[in-house]
Amino acid sequence: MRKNTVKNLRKAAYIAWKDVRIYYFSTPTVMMGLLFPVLMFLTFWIGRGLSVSEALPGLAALTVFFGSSSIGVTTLALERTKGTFDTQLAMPVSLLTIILGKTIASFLYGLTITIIPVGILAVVSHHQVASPLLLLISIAFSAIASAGLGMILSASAKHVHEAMTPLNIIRIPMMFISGIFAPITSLPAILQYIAYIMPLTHMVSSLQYALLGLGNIQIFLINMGALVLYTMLFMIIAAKRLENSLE
Amino acid sequence: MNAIKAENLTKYYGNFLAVNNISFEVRQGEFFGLLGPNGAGKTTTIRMLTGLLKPTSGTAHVMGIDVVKNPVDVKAQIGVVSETANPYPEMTAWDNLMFAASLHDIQKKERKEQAENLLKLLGIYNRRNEKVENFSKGLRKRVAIAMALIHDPSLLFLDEPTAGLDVQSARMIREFLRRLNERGTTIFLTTHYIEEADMLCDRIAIIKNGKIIALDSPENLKSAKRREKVIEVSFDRYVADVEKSIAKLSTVSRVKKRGDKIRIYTSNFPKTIQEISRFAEENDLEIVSINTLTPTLEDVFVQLTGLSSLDIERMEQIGRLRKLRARGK
Repeated sequence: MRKNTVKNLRKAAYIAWKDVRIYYFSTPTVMMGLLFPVLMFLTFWIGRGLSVSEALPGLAALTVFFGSSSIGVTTLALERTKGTFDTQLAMPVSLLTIILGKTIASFLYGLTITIIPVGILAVVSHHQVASPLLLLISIAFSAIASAGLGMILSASAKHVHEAMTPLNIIRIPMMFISGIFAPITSLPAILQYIAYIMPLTHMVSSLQYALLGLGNIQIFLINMGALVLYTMLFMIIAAKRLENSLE
Repeated sequence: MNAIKAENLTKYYGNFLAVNNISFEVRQGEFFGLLGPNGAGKTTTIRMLTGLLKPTSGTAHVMGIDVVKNPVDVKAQIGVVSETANPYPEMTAWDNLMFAASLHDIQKKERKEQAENLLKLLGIYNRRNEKVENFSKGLRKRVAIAMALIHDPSLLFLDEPTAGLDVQSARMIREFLRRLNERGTTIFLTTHYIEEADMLCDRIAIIKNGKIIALDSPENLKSAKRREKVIEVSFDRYVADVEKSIAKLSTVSRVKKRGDKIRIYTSNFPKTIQEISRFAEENDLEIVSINTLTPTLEDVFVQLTGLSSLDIERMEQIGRLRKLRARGK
């Protein structure tokens, strides 16, 4: 059992490394990775009279959420179009291992494109991060949950647009009720309930604690627990959807 | 132990019955072909046997392992070259093989030796460091075959391996598969190229509308058909509707035009020869050549599947279209 788990994790790592090599080092992906957080930050920051410090949790949450959830969608749909996904399916790996491998790759991408701009902005604006370690943990957990969400929608898509359209339908409304632009407490009661079942809300809340010290460690731990649950749930649903799509 | 044992395999896609309760066995070391028209259920069958698709009902054991219960264990024992599967174009041929080897959990030293051997055998060793995106379809198929054989499986599945390939690549792949089979690898091949199946396979199953309608060696299948004789005749000039006129002769069962030759199927050989001579005289035609032919596997296929020669041409046309599409890529 344990031997099998180690073997599956190793295979997932090979799949992740293959994705990183093929897709994430490519020029368009690197450019998107660099431009995306800059544009996201400017959209979020300009005209709102916020200091860089106040804008940082929102920037970090949006970058990690959009970055990690988008990249896996692109790679899986591209592989299906090119017929390389079938090659992978013929190998002795379970669908869950494939999903895990792709999630790890998306997680690494989201982690990198978030840490670099947040780090640079924190240094440039002389912002004192409340807890660098919790910030790293928070970005990592957010990246893996976001990657899992992307996997759900890409699992049955044969083309990039088939996954991107529903993904944006889910992501964009989520952005407005997750506490990035306005505190959740200022939302109508029904939206507050919805907000708490959204993974992005837990990402924003944990990043606010790690970057600004808002909230407390108990809430931070609840947010982390929620993100772990979301990750597991998303991956299981993604593997199931992938299995159904092969029929 | 049989390499494959399929029992009552059935697959529905919604209400559509793609594979209908098929049972067969493939012996170890055998070169087995699954032949059928497009949409007959060949690919669905191969996908069920390789663990890519769950059957609606029935079971299949591949190398003694239940493929429905343990698809990953089956995949570790077999190699699969599916029609739709491609190597990663962004990676080199070598990296593709290393990736396949890593998913098969092969030790680093062993995977390098195995990859070198395979690339040399398939004639692509000198191009191992080139990205696959620069390769022709034939070369890509060779890389796909090498990836499927990286763990030295004792059973190899191939779904239409030569579809759309140029003559040289197709011939090279056939020769490679023949040698692989001689070394003891069991091969399960699906194809719609009837000649290919005839050339390579020890036994052939013909599938139509999801059901196996014949299963035997190519020669046995042909001998069952030998009651019918085939005469091939060519005249010095073409007369409009000559084949229709010949088809009306009393002893002729059917007629096919093949280039400048006319293939005549009959059960009364001497009388048909007489009738053809008379027909030539009456129409002022000179017989340039006249030969008797033994039935081909295609004849058997046509008879069993009920396909017309037009359908066969269409099948071949699809092959040619695939080839053109591949060239366009």
